Amino acid sequence: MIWWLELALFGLLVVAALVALSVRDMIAAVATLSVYSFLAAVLLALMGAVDVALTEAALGAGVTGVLLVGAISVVDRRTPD
Amino acid sequence: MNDRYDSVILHFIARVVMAPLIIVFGLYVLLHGELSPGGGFQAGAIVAAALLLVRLALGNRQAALRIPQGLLIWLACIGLGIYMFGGILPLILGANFLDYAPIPVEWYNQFAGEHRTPRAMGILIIEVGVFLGVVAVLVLIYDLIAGSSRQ
Repeated sequence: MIWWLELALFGLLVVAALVALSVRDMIAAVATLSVYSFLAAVLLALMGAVDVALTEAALGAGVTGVLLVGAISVVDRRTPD
Repeated sequence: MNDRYDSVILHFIARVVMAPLIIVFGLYVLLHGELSPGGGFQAGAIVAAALLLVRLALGNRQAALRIPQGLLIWLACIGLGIYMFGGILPLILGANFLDYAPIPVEWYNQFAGEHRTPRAMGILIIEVGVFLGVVAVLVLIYDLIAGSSRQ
């Protein structure tokens, strides 16, 4: 059907995960992690699991990013490794 | 994160446009949960995201005054109580725990003009409890993290 769309989304998902792992700035890592969660939500919705996609979009892309930014404001913003 | 950022556009978009839309969609997901995708947990996460959006835009000190922490704890406990009520009510009426079959729904169907089965009614009671618990606990976690931050 639209296999190339799912393939492109999956490629972007892997790229977002690698960027979130390798970036030094923690805020940038959290933003990339939100991108990862949103792409995962779109993929889940395309595969028919709308229930899981709703949870992933609301919790993974929304609330988790806010909570992680709040946790980063307590510790240092830049990571040494 | 705790202080207010003065921008008319940000406050208008967050408070007047986005937050009511997200809350209405969350309530739709809650009340339509047994027929369409969604349910108590998803609706709670969506409504909590709307409340966190207002908190981020207005600053935590100002937004937290509207919903104090004690009220959030009470809301979470009331949600757990509603879940327990939905589980024990069939036990009183002579069935198993969380077995919704004997829940009386005739008065509700006459009142609302619907044709709701007892199981749909039981699922709705359970999901309202889950909804209150999820909203209260997610906002409470954010309040505690933001209260301990340095900025």
